[in-house]
Amino acid sequence: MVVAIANKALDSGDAEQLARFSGLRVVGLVPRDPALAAAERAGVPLLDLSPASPAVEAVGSLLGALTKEAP
Amino acid sequence: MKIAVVGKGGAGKTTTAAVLARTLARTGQPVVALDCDTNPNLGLSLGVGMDATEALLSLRDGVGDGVEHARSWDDIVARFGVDAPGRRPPRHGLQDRGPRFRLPVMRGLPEQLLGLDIAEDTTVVADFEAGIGTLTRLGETKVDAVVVVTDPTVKSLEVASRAARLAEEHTAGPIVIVANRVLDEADRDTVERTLSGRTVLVIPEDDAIPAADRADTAPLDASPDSPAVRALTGLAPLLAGS
Ligand SMILES: Nc1ncnc2c1ncn2[C@@H]1O[C@H](COP(=O)(O)OP(=O)(O)OP(=O)(O)O)[C@@H](O)[C@H]1O
Ligand SMILES: [Mg+2]
Repeated sequence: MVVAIANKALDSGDAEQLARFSGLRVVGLVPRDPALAAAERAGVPLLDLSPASPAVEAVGSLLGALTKEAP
Repeated sequence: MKIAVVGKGGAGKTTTAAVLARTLARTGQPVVALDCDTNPNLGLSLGVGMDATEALLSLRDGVGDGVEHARSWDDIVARFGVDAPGRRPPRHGLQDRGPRFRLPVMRGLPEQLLGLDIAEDTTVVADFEAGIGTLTRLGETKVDAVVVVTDPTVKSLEVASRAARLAEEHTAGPIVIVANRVLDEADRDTVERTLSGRTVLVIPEDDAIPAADRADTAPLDASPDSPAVRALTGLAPLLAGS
């Protein structure tokens, strides 16, 4: 199974563009998240710095999406 | 003159190389923008467009052979190059007359290509693959300048520090740090502290860059007056002046 995840997405248009270009099904969308910029600058894991940030939540829900997709 | 553009993945190498190549081409000198990435997309940032970039990608298997059998650098550029837009778009509907700058984009084995004899008056802007692999494989090949692109994150700065040190073994010319995606004074300080003693050009975080990427246009055409593009046009004079 090969599926795609749209990272640093601004909106669902980005996911659509990814689907169009790759021909893959886009099963998740991780938004562009300022919390990640802060974590990268501090050199610490995002999960520790901002466990409730949108990017962490989106990645957390990927597992469910992938399990659903798996044959 | 050979200019290598290096840095960590996603730091902004391709954006920087494209604006640099096109800024240099405006002066009228021959410029070759060399895409050294196994996943080439320099053509997009130059304004060559998706189709021509894809076409170059499909030529890629032939490039290895091309290097072996080609008689010269010029031969390779002629066979594997594509012209990129080189000047400001015509204004007021006036016909854009006069010579076009040849600004071929090509892809190949960078160590090999950069080792070939290249005419003195030609400037090669080589967009390296992420990391420091290509720099380490340059061997005895020298370049005339190295541009190290970094964003203000710990990981990117770490690669930039190593790349800058390694660059000293491969160039006797200027090594310029491009501090990309700078949000504030704190970002600027972080880069200047980590790479103290080096020449640093600060480029702000600017939504115009990803917007141009999304639209498959060159940032220099889509948003010539945006803060990041304006700042990047300062790189060519900096390389010439050092
Ligand atoms: N100054 C900037 N402000 C905002 N976004 C930027 C800026 N510079 C680059 N970007 C964005 O960062 C991403 C990576 O840029 P670019 O492709 O130039 O980096 P790269 O170093 O060539 O990446 P790779 O290692 O994948 O080749 C792109 O999506 C681009 O739009
Ligand atoms: Mg690149």
